[in-house]
Amino acid sequence: MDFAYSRNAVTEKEKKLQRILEIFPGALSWGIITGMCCLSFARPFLAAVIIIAFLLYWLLRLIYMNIFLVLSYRRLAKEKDTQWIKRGDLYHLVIMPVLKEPAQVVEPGILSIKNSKYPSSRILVIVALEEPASNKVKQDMLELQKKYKGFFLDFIVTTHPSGLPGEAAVKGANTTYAARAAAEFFKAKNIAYEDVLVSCFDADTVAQPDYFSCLTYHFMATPDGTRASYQPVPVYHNNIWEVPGFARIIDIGTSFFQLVEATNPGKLVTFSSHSMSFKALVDIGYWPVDMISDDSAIFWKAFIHYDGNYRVVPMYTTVSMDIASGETLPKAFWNIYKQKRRWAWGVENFPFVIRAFLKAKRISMYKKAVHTFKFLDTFVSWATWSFMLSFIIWLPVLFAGREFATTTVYYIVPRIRAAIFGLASVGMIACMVISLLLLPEKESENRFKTVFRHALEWLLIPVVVLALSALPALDAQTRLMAGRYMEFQSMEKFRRKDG
Amino acid sequence: MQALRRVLFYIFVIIYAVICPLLIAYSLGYIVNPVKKAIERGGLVYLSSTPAGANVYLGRSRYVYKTPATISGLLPGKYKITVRLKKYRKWAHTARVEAGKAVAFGNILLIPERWQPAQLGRQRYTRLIPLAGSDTFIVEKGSDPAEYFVYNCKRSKLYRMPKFSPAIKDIGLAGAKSADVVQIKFCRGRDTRQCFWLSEGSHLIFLENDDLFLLEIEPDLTYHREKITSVLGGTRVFYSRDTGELYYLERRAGRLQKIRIMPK
Repeated sequence: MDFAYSRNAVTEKEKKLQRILEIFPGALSWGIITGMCCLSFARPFLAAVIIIAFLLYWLLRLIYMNIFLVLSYRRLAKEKDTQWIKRGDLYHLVIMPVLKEPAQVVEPGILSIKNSKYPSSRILVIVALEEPASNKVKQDMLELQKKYKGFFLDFIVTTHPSGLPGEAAVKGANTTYAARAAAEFFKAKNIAYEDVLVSCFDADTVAQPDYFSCLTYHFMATPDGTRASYQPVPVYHNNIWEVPGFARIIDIGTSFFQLVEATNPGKLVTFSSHSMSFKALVDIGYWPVDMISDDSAIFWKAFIHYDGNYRVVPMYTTVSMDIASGETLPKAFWNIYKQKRRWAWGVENFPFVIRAFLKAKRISMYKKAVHTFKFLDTFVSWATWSFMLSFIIWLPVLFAGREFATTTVYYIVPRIRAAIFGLASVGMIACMVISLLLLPEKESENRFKTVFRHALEWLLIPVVVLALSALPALDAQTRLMAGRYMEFQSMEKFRRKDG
Repeated sequence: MQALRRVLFYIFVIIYAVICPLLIAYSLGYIVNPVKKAIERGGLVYLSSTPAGANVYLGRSRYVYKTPATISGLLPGKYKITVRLKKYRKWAHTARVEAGKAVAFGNILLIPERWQPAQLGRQRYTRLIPLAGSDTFIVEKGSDPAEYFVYNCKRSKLYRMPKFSPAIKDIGLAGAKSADVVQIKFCRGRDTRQCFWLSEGSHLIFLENDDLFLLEIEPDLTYHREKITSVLGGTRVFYSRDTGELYYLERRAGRLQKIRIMPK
């Protein structure tokens, strides 16, 4: 189906519907939060009963997710030793957009591609520079090009001019510009787009040595492989021991979420660094050039273009990135907050997806319903659960009048709450253990000290999730409600100078 | 993995569909009556005591948990509830449980089997002047300013007054004013010089005709009172809310003593 997946392409007629759909997720989240607060005050009895139902639902979801976290981790550990395809039947294109990142941040990623088990002579690397990048960054990239050009099919540095018509200051515009240059390259070399897999990495992405072999295998093993994106598990190990504890915990949570999501390919949506067929990318008209959430938008664009016959295939291999941080604690906190808000800005896809669903006749109702529910469930629970668990569940007892205070519910809700939190803490221990297994060892510290310190960091989880996950998500949804559209901001990648 | 996910999803949906209504019904007080083999709506009794950790008896049976405790799943009716703790007098009450309702006995103040006064030094005093709103009182040996001492309850320390303040007598009177309201209600015109509310209003200490009493007030405003000790004629007492101790001059020699009222 032809659908203009762009904010600039919304017609006058559709603008009203677009605005209503932009308001909907935020209104739902705010409705839940304020509705429960008001209900706790006006009808504490009813609020307490709803809270019991919510707490049980939360606990079961937690157990359910923990089961798949363990299973997914086991699969990841098992597939570490798999010997993937080593034959270079396909070509790979890797696009690395760069704005502020110096060579120190970009080079490990390029090295990881060079040292890949897949023949690097069949890999085209494009460093996609933005025009406003500093001369130092531009110089750094040219030096990297000089240093590594001989190892790859080619190493191209493109410079995306600012302010092209129809574009916003977003990463997707830059990667699209680079992908168009790659299309010219492949055309000139007579390489069919069907034989090329494109991986859009962040500037700091370090791929596992088996990444391209694993990707090639999955592409070849997937029926109609061009109609799929390939999602590795993102981990944030590049600078994990150089950032504050709260930063570590929140990004381990992100990896866990992706591990759990990997067990549900039917509803999986692309996130962060991932890969897809270059033919599909060209067919759907590249990444949206005016949206921040290009990583998820590209999936929705393809899903709509191919009338629902597009999916995400999980790959049990990892790509490692940097955790956003800063030189001081408040700066690190603020940078992480902004990064999570940008991730949560993925909610901007909702109005486009729903408008497309309303028009798409060939996408089954079942698929439309499943994806719409999953979309809302993900974003609304992201923005509301922490508020529910941290504040709202305490309100009915706090606001209790004399009448409610003499009911059995008033005394039993705290007991149920305590029992559920007790059971949930067992789940937290499981997360703690898996995070210890997943984390790279810290060379300068003994294992016991690392384990002890990391275990203590997990105690921060209620505060960290509220401040650096739920709050930015609610912030993003509120901005979308108000029509205050975000623009891309490159995150500060903090590395110790001796690192 | 997807098939397993689907199977587990439906299992969890069933678990939720079964447990959620049961949990809500339980919180509303619904229980199975084993005698009638029917579902009935019951109530609960909530008990908390000072000190905590006392045994709770329902009739003759001891409840598994100690105070603070919530005894749920009680069929409507009357229950004799007893709270016992070693070295404290037992507390007993009959509670009337109604369907869906909770009977709460919050902050039951357990009275020690014996009041145990502690002497604070061998000095004799003639007067105790409470400083209202503070954790400090003044004791005097004679009329000379050098014979005034300040006692800080938090630090358990007696200081010599550095400088005599003429406002002290006024402060003493201000302390006495708080007694007036309660005097009308409970003491019917007797010489009640001071009183202090304890344990969120469930108990009252008052000084009447040089005797100190502890008054336990029931929710229906009936009460029973118990004498704690006697104080030096015409003197006042001081109750520290921070330490839960009562300070007074003992009757015979006017030595400064204290009694713990609120258990630690």
